[in-house]
Amino acid sequence: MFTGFDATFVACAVCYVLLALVASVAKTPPPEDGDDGAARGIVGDELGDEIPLPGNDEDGGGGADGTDNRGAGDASSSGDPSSSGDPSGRGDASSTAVPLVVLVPMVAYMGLNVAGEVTFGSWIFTVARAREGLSVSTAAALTSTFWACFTATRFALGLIPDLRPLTALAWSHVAALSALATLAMYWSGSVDASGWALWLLTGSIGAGTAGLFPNGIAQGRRMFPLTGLRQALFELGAATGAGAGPFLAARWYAASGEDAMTIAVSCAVFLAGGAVTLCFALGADARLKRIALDVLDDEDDDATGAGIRRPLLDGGEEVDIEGVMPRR
Amino acid sequence: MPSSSPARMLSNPYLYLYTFGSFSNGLFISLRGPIIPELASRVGAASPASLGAYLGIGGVSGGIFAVPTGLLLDKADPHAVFAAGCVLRALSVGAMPLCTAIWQVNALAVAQGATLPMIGVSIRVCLVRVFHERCAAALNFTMGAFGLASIVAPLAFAALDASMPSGKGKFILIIVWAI
Repeated sequence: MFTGFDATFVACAVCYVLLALVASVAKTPPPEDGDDGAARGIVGDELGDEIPLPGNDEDGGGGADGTDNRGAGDASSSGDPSSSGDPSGRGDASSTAVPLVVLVPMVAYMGLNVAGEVTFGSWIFTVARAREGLSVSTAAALTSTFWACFTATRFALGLIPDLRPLTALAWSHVAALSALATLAMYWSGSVDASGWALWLLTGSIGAGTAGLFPNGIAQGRRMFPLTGLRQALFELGAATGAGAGPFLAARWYAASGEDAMTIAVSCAVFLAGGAVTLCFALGADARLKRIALDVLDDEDDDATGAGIRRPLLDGGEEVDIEGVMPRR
Repeated sequence: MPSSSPARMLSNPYLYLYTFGSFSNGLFISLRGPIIPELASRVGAASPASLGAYLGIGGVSGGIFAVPTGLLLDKADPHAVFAAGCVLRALSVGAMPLCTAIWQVNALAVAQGATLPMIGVSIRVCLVRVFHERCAAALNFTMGAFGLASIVAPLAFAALDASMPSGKGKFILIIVWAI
């Protein structure tokens, strides 16, 4: 018997084959080149300022052998194994080692945010039925509301012109955390509200959590070159969060005697933890930029000094500008 | 500061290729729930809960294969990894209706889990390459398709289950055409 079950899998298989065909025919986009500041060892801030990282110039710098590329390392570098020289140019972006003080918090950030998102999406059905006494179909509709708001917000964020990742992340955290805090108070009984509040808050949480993962990736790209390995680490963090989040929240939910508030608080803790790790990453990134600037200033001072001294020592016969010109 | 005009982003054909890739990931993940009861009866499981390992193995496999996939993406053509992930998923998903034992679906779950990073990470690597400074908007849009698939997949499954006429020959014909 050829049933809908078979038809679903066959239809999916056909879709995947078609997708594979198109992907194999389409020209692969080239690696990020000179347009990408991060790939050539330049860090940029929200205002678009670009600061070249010392020791990361075009002739190798510090990244090629996996050593520190920050000029004045006070923290370990990642020692990225993929950062060895690649004459084909395919690995351009990976030739810059990323300090662990930035990469690790960003991976943790992905894990914590996805933990909050998946925990809420996984448990809202059960908790809404137990706490609010919703029927199966109504609880399913509530779950769908969460995912529908989540999806609509992602598409909407994609269509906002000039939206900066950090701005999207800040507003997403504010929306999700305030909705979760209100929901926790509602479920704890300290706030009285009508049944519509649950739907509104669920939609707000969906909208708030939607932008966290994609904009986290985009923010990561502003801090360091996004190689395949680093994106895979983000994926690993997200997968860990998606597994651990619902599990931990469920343990607390069971231990509390199935108090609905624990699920909302768990999600809020995950998202707040995500915000803290993002602040750590941003702080470390800013600190490294300052160090890079200081080193550049020192180099400029040394270069200017050499340029001034040499003509004087040479009696003014030859002006050697080597010291003040950038070496390539 | 370059303008991130949505019209310019939407006119890039790569966006739709990667959006469909993201949609396919959402489709695959969201279908795993609704198919459990039917799959359990087909493989002779005592109860749908017996297929918990199938769901778990898929997730763990995705995590385990993430880092090797990332290393591969730094060495190989991301579109090749993307296409290989799609072919592997087509084969592992297409073989599901043929399974008659739990160990078979668990084995397929390993392959299916591995395709999650093969497709997901490769399209994100390509999106960053294509859209550079505007990758945030493209990532948001593309990952929106994941959520869309999560909404559509259970409904599509229910619709197909309710309306699909029987006939093994048609099934085999479609499989052959797909491969």
